[in-house]
Amino acid sequence: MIAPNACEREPEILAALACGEWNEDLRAHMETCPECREAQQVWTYLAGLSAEQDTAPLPAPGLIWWRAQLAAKRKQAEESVVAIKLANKTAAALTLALVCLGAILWGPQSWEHLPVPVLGAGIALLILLFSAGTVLYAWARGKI
Amino acid sequence: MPASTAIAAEEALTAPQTAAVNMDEESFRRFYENTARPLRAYLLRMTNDSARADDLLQESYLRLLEAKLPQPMEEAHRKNYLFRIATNLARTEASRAKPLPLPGSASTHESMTERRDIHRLLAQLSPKQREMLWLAYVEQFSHREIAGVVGAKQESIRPMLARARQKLAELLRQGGFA
Repeated sequence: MIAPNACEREPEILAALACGEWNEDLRAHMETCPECREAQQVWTYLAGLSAEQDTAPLPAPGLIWWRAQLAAKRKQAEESVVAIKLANKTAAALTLALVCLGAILWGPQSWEHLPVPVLGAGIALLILLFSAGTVLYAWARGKI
Repeated sequence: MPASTAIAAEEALTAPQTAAVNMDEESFRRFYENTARPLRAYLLRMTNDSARADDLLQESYLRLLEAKLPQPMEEAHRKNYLFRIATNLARTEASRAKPLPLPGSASTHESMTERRDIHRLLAQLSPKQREMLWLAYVEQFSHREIAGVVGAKQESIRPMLARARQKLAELLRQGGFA
């Protein structure tokens, strides 16, 4: 399908139609340009539609504002609940890890009998969990 | 729900400070005053139903308030963004709603019949053509702004707009309105 012509001066014509200010050059162009005459017909039709009396009251802006506030507060509440749940889970995981580590270190087998790599891994795990817990807690409290 | 969780949720809901929306109330009211009528006229032409248009209007402002927009933002840009939201909502609505009779379809009065015919002409265009023509001819949006609102490339707006204009002009001629 061949694209119809679009006159480069159409935006100028539309602006002139909207504000009613025409210069001679634009008026002369309008008389010779079929695309711009067509644009004028379409503009007249659409302007007529837009000028139809709209007397119905608009929704109250206060109500929209209030709904937006409520939605934003609900979102904040949901976010804070998520953060607290995460912090609770992290604390539970940390406690469990510490208990496990304590059982390994001070359990029936003394730590002196444990192979060095296992002991090292246990300590590294403890440090890692503690760091992760601290970061998550700070994030949950909104400090980072 | 644990007590601490419930307390935090309660605090957030009853917090005295303004919740996180991107405008203050006074600016919003001013913006609404300047844009609500044109937006409703646009939505009315897209949906052919005033109740739907009002629902979409409210939803558009809600989404605008909740959006993460760059600050400060000029009113013209905010208006473009609002029309983009409204356009997307109207398209989604149109894809799942049943088509409604055009305004005035119950009347037998001659002038009403003529009005109905006038509205019907616009309804014969595709939704995108209606959007583009309304934005260009009524709202005086530039091609760049229209591209942003309807989600098309800026270079494609000119031929698409010309095609829409040609089709509507043809319908106007056939209907005896031109």
